Amino acid sequence: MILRRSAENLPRSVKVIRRTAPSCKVLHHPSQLAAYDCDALSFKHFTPEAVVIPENVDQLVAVVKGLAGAGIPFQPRGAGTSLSGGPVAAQGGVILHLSRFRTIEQIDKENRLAVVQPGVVLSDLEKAVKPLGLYYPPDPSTGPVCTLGGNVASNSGGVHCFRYGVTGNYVLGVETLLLDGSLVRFGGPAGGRGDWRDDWKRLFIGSEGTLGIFTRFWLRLIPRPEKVWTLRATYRDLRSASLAIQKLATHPSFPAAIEFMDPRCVELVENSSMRVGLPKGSFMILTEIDGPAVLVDRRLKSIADLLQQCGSEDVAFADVESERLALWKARKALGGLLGKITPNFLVQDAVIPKAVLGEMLEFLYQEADAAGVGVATIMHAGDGNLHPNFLFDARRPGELEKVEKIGSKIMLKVSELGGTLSGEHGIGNDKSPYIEDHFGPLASAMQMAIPNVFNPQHQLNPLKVFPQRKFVA
Amino acid sequence: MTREVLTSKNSSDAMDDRRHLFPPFFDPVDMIGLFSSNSPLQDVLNTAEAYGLTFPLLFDPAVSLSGHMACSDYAPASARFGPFVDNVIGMNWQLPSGRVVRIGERVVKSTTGYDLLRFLLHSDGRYGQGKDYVLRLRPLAPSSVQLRFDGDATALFKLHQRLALGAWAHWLDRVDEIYRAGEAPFIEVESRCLKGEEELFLDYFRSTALEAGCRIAEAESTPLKMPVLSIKSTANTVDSLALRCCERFGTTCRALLFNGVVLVDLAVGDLNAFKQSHEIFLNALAKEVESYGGHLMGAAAPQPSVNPLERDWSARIEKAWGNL
Ligand SMILES: Cc1cc2nc3c(=O)[nH]c(=O)nc-3n(C[C@H](O)[C@H](O)[C@H](O)COP(=O)(O)OP(=O)(O)OC[C@H]3O[C@@H](n4cnc5c(N)ncnc54)[C@H](O)[C@@H]3O)c2cc1C
Repeated sequence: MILRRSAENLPRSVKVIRRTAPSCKVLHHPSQLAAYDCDALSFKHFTPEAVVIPENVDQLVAVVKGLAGAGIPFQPRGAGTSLSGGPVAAQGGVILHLSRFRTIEQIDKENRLAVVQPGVVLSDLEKAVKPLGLYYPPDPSTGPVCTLGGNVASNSGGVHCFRYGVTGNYVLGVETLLLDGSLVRFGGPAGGRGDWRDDWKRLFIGSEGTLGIFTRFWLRLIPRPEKVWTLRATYRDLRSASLAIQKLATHPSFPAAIEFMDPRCVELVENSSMRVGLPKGSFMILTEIDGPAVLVDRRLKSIADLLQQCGSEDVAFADVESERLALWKARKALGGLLGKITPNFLVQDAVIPKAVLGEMLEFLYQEADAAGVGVATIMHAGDGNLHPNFLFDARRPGELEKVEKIGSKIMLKVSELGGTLSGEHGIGNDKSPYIEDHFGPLASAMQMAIPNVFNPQHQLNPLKVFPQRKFVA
Repeated sequence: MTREVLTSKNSSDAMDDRRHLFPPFFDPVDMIGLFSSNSPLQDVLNTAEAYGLTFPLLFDPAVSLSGHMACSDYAPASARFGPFVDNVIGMNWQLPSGRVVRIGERVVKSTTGYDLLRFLLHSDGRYGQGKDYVLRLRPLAPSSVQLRFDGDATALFKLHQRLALGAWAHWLDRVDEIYRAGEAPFIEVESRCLKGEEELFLDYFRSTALEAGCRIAEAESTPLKMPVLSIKSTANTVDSLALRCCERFGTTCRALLFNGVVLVDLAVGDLNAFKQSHEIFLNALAKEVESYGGHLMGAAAPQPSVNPLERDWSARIEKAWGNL
């Protein structure tokens, strides 16, 4: 039973929204708010005061003007699958849920572009463009639920960005609502600067909801690859696996994906009902080549030979969908598996120079083993984008702290090795403590100048990206 | 490669700046390296080639990367490898105060912080200048196929559509339509490939030409020059725009068909005279392409207009960065 609160007891934000946008849907009952109090870091809770679900741009503008004027912090949210604490109410206030902005407005085959609203689910766009022979490559594994708004705001990647690039490489233009209630368009169908002197679009892509609220995108599409070969190989030692990664990455046939699983991941899969028969203790590499059928058929042998020459004795490959999926099974099963075998897991995200993979893995194992925390690492290996998964139980006192301590050591190590804090998940409030050290004082000051222009009080998505982005009413 | 001499406010600032700058390096595994913004691209090519790598975005190897990026965001190989800004992943940037700061990363993939890198690379010197760039290099495919397609306007348009929407699109390193005063336009294509694959590419091109009604011939490519004007437009306006520019300016215009970009060469004469005699046309053209998100750039481009909102944003950024 949902008890109705009397008008006097309503949170101030709800009163403001009811006044400024009376027809807009607002949730404020604790049971409703519970669905919005975290992102995919489900062990960290930040309960908002209210959640607003605007139907259209007019309602969104009214809500933003109302909240901005009333001094209430607010944060945009798509599907809430962020793994960095991006769409949470870190300083309370209101969540703007953009789920109703879910129209694919146009697919222009001749110009190879799509015009979409930010609440469109990624795989819905994929479904819409596929019959036209078109392809939108960014493919975070949350595709069936995550939204294009979250993708652009996080500059999301996925397994195929080694060749195809990340979301930002496909954004031709953005329409965004600024804090003063004005709606601006940067770029557009042509993907240039439009009637602006500077290329502001670049600052908004990947800005994690801290500069404005996206209301529309112009996205670039490309022709769909005709055929895909998936190849899988395992290696007994890291040296051979690393060599295979390096050779694949520099091969002139440009693989679309190069994925890696460490022996601890392999072991988890092989000890489960999802087992696929990988040798325990081995390092697994998956790669894909795609393109015109005659071309990739010709290239298959050289890639299979390469994997073998690096020391694999079990190179397997397939071009039939069901068989390809079977080769992917171990890699794809991991997320679900971790959910089953451990109460909580934390997926870290960092990028390292590929040459230091061995040093980084050794460091991870040492730290995790010393703390008694399980770790299993996957990697978008072509890009050096490492995802160690830490297994723990947040209910046990001190466990989360242990994992966070390892996380902070990893961040320092990654910077020291010449890598970066995030390859695709963004900084949010989870990694913000490390960003100044990574950039140094001068570049940090330059970075902070950007929100200081568009969101100087940090009322929009406070405490994200930089920890000093605190909203003071 | 350069070693930066820092001009800093005080010595502890200088120490800190130095810790955070890119040192000279070359990493053939990640296919990246630091190059001075002033060194001719030929230097980059020479270094890269020794490792079987290349930097594909190129007009004139004697010109520096800064020189390239000042005249166009796109080069012919952008058909496959994207604009210059997607091939520069980090840099040492000199602020107007003289301090040098590291922007971007030495790894290709990053979502750490705001994308100052691409913003600054497109800022035309307003907030300082690049000193060294970390360039993303690519494997140098050992062979290539270069072809020229001729036909009437309908046939060339059909060919453009088929190439752009076909499964081979991602393997074409260059798809340019060349417009020269008094001559019929034609399309040039280049694909870099592995040895032994040339015939596969030729088969594809032959059948596509046949479907579109074009004639096909192996041909040396039209020499590339640094353009004086680069017009960012869309895929379905680029050919008509190139034709209009060619008729208007009487010079060679190259339409980068996959990127929707027209590059205008200045055949002869003085740039100022060119700008003056075409001022009204260029201003109208700028307005036209800006309306759908395009822009003009290069030495012959009119100064972009700045609205009050943008003036305010820029001033605030200049002030914040100017104090550093
Ligand atoms: C199991 C799992 C696997 C994942 N795999 C990948 C992967 O392979 N690659 C990858 O890149 N990511 C991955 N992610 C992370 C996540 O799915 C992506 O970051 C995704 O893009 C988030 O989309 P979302 O709609 O859920 O956005 P949210 O989580 O709701 O929000 C993300 C950020 O975007 C902002 N935002 C959302 N909408 C707007 C808007 N309209 N305007 C302005 N800002 C907005 C939010 O404020 C927040 O900062 C994974 C997550 C999980 C849980």
